[in-house]
Amino acid sequence: MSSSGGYIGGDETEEMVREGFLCPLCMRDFPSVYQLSAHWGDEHESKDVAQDLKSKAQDLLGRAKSKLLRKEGSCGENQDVSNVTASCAAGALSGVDLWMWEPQELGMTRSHTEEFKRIRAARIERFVIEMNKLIIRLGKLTAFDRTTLEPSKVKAMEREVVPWVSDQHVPLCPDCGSSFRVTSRRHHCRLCGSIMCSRCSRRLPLVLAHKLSSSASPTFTHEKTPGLAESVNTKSFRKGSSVSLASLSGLHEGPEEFGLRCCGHCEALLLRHECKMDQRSQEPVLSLLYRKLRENMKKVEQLAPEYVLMAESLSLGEPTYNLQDAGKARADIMKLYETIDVIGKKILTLGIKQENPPSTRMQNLHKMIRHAVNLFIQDKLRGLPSLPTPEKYEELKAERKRELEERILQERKQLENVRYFLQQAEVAGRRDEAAALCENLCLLQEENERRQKVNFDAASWREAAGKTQDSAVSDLDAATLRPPSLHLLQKGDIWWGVEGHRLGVKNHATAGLENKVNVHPSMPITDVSSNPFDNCDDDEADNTKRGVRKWGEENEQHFGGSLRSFAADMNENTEETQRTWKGKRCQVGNDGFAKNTFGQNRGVANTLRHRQQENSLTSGNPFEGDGWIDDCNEQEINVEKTSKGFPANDHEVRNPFLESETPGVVSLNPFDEEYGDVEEREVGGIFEGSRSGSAIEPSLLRQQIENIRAYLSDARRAGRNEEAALLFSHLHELQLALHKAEAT
Amino acid sequence: MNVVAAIKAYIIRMVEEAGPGMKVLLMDKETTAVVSVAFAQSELLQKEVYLFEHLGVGSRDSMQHLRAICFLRPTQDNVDLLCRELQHPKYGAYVIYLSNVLSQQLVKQLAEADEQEAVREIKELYADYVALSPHFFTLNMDTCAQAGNWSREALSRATLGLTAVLLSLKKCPVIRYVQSSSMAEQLAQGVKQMISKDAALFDFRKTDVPPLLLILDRRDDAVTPLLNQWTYQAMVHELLGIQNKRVELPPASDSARSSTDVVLSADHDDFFANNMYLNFGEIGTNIKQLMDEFQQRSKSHEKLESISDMKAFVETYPAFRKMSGAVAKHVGLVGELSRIVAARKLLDIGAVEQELACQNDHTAALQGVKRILGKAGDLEAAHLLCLYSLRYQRHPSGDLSGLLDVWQKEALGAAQTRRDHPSWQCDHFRKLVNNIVGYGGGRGGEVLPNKDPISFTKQFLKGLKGVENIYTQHQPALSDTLDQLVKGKLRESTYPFLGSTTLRERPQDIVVFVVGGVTYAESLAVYNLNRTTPGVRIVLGGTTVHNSRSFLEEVRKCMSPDLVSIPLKNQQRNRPRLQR
Repeated sequence: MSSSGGYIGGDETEEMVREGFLCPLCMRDFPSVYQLSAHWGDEHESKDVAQDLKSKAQDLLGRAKSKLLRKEGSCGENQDVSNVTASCAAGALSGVDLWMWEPQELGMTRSHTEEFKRIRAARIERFVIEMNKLIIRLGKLTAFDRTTLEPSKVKAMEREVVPWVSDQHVPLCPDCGSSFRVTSRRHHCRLCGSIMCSRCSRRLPLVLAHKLSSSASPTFTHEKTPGLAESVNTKSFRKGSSVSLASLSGLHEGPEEFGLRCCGHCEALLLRHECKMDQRSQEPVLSLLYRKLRENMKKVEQLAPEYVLMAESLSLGEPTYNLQDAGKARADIMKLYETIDVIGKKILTLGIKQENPPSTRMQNLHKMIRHAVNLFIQDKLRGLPSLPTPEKYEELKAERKRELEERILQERKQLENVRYFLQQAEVAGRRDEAAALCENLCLLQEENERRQKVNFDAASWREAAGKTQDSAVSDLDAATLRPPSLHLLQKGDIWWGVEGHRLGVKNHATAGLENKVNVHPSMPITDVSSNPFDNCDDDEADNTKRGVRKWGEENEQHFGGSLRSFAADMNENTEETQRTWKGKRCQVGNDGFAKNTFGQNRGVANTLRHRQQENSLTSGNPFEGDGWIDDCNEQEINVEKTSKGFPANDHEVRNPFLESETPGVVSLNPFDEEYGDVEEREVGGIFEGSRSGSAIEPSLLRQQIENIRAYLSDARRAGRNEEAALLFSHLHELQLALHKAEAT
Repeated sequence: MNVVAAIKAYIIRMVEEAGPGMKVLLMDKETTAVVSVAFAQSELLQKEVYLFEHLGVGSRDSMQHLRAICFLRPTQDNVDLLCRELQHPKYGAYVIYLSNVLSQQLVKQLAEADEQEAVREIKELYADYVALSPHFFTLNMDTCAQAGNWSREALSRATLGLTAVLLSLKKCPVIRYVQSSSMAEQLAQGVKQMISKDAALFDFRKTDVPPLLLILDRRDDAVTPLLNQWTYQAMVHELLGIQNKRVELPPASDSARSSTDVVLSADHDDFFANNMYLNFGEIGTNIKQLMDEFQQRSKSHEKLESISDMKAFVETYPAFRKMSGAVAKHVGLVGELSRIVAARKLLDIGAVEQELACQNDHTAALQGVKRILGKAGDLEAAHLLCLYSLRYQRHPSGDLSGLLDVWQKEALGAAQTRRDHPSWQCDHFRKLVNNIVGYGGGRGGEVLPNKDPISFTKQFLKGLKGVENIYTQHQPALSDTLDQLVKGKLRESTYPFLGSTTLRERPQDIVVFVVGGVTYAESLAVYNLNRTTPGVRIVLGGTTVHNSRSFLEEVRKCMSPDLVSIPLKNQQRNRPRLQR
């Protein structure tokens, strides 16, 4: 007892409990919250703060945890096990207590490969040399046409290549030990020259000899192969029989012309070599199929995470991705799955219908591969989230919008509060506090700015555009907080009074942009307060231009609205600042637009690029694109017709906003909704005419029917009757559905 | 310090180094256990390992498009078999991994057999033990001792296994052992020798506090394996037996189907992972929860009205099936456990056992045993008698023969219905008790967990407070030993250091090895110790994992002097020697 107490006590003296205004990162103590926050601003403004903080938090947590656990442990000594186990259950700990240990690295290994190869090389050198010698000799022996020559001449030439062992040196057959007589004569191996009796000698078929020797020198092959075919032909004519030369029966029993006499040793070496050659040259069907299978699997592994990302983002209502694209990605993946499934099945039944079916182990291999395919499909398919329907997606989007607004509003409120405090502090002359608050404000604004940046930089024009007028207002309002913060950081001044001045400075920086904005014809900048929808109605007659107009108007409306609120928020804002903002905003917007929207639609993107070249306008001005669409709309048809890969239905492509606008739709966010509609149609036009969600349905259904069938047979085999019955009814329903789908 | 992760890392390395393409895994009996415990077959399937073969099996087909991963213990038998395989290679390429140190001579033998140049790689990976939990491993040795001492083969196996643990964890430890056990000392010396022989292998990055290897002997705590266990994993092992994470579940009484093999792996079975250390009562509630959840889910599967319903069904069906499998498994297991507990009256017996093990009141203990002995079955009676004699063999009024009389009387009374030879059974018990006392009570005096005054006070306090759960009062002696070790208070006289090196600091990384086997109860104790002492990592292992049955068998073998050969590798022994 005393021991454990001492232990804990000792530990506590080591770690003095510190209180006060401690910096969570460097543990320095500060007399007041303001100094702490100032210190925070000075020291810990680097990018890795978030990460650092996280690790610190984990550290703290871990320490707290260990403290708790230790306390528990010291009690646990006096209690029984059940108490500890109960607390373990309460802590919802899994049986695997990995959390407390660092990840296990790979243990020690030691390689013997070097040594092994050294020994092996020394050993097989002999084989290699011998083999090479044999191959070379074989080449020489098959180099002359032995069919037309006299047997004695052939023999002479053979002896020229390989010197024969003299007869007197070999009294007995070295292989079987029988003595040579008149009936059992000596024979020489044509490859090594050794002597053996006829029973121990082998015949190497000429075809094989050619094949082996040709492997060594490919050029040699080319010359010799016709000769070989010829010799084969003449021989079979002469013999008048159709003996298959390749057949092994010819190896031993065939007449002398059919092969080179050789000893067993040489033959074994050569046959082994041939075996290796065969393996190298031909690949079994299984490997081919398998390779294809793996390729497809790899593709799925690449595509699936992308799709999951898309689906998750979409199901959150984020406008980063496009629903149609996600649908297409899903269809692609599904198609890959189908291919994988088909290959898997093919492997399973591979060779079963042939005359000699593969061995049980081979079939086992096939089965295992099929099983692995099933696992793969199940595993990955389960992780594949489904997409929201278009209607649902709209709902989600609206919801997200609301959330965003709420958040922004909250932040704004917070900022206002801080500002208010600051003002009060200044009024009361509490300089320390004011400075601290100032820092706080900076931080908050930085945060805001960062988020804005993220919003824009993430190429989410759609997000920006997707916001309703209101949200855009608040959005921009939030964005207005940026200049002061910048200002403060740069000059370290008191910002409130000089804000307008600073904004002016900013304007100079963007003067070029501003000029262009002014030049722009289709953008009535001065008419900030005009209602864009009125314009819409005016232009209604001109269908070709309307969409584009609307796009511009949308921008205008968007920013006009924003600017209004901006003006309300900051009384000192001038017209110039408004333009600056507008320009900036649109620039970002346009970039995003080009990247996101048109990037997906090649047709339009192409036209855009095309025309950009034609008009040779600088791209610095974000408004140019718009105006230019507006101007050149009439040319569009021609351009489209000439550029390749365009759908016949150029009507739609030419102006994506064309049809989407019905008089009734004067929604808060016309651009986004209509754009979505049009896009859907576009995709349809480009890819399949009227491809929609239901087009892939039958294939999906079929796959599911397959799946259910598999489960069903599985269930039946395992004797789970109830489950089987249930599955059967499902199957029936699915089939009915499939028929219906096919009928329509 | 995570043995499961270490083994997994090795196996993944093996599979990855073999390269892409279809693969076959060639193993021997022991490495099969190593792999099968670490990975499910389906996991390896997804790493392109499609076939699993024993090296010894002769009639394998030639499949040149497969790569063979050979994972073998470096025994002479295995090398012989591998040589034969290499002379006529059946697969396109071979990568060879040995689970322990391979001698130069065997490398040479293999290299000379590889005339076809089929071998791409030959490596040692020290996965020479079976990792059951991150902190728990076993060597799966049936028996290790013969006439109270190591058999040569067993000693070498244990030494190799233990060094493999150290190498896979990359620890070069200071060694301590229990002084009273010559087996522990021999093993310690064996490990030390291995380390000094292959010093280059053990040249790891030095840590502030060097790791510690503590070698203990089962004979110092013969009580723990005799007790009935009440936590899930330990209970399953005690009553049904776990072999390499597999349990043979006898068929439910109503169906005629044969027994089923179920796998209890915390990696693949969430329910087991969350409940393996919980006690029987808690398991009951959790199982009920699981059932309810399952029923709810199966209900949701009953009606499918729309296509989307069906789609959802198909997508969730595999998960559902998995769950239904888990539910069936655990319901079956827990059902069987409760059946056995009821049939053998284990709750009553367990209470008496715990009292025997933890309390120090001879009269009450004797009364308790007498009361329960008549009701107990053979096995339980044997446990009780063993426990009693371990605790009170030297007690002045110890009355073993009296107990045996009681048993015989009861048995005779029920002889017609129960058993025919109570006297024979009595002889058996006497022998057993003699054995166990010789095994576990040999070193002077009673086996008491409370030897020193501190633990005696603890015991006293505990008695005052009353216990919360009478079935789980007993704590293995190991937890006390380790507690002292962690606090740096383990006596050097009883647990000396090997060699001149000593450790002044409190140890942080500890490998504990129990000669003669460990139990799941001790695994739980170490698990709790790991959780409650931050900064300390303890890995526990033993020659095998015992339940009471296997423990009594080990005791029998250990105490019988006439046992000639240890049947550790008898299967390989019976096989005809191969020609080279």
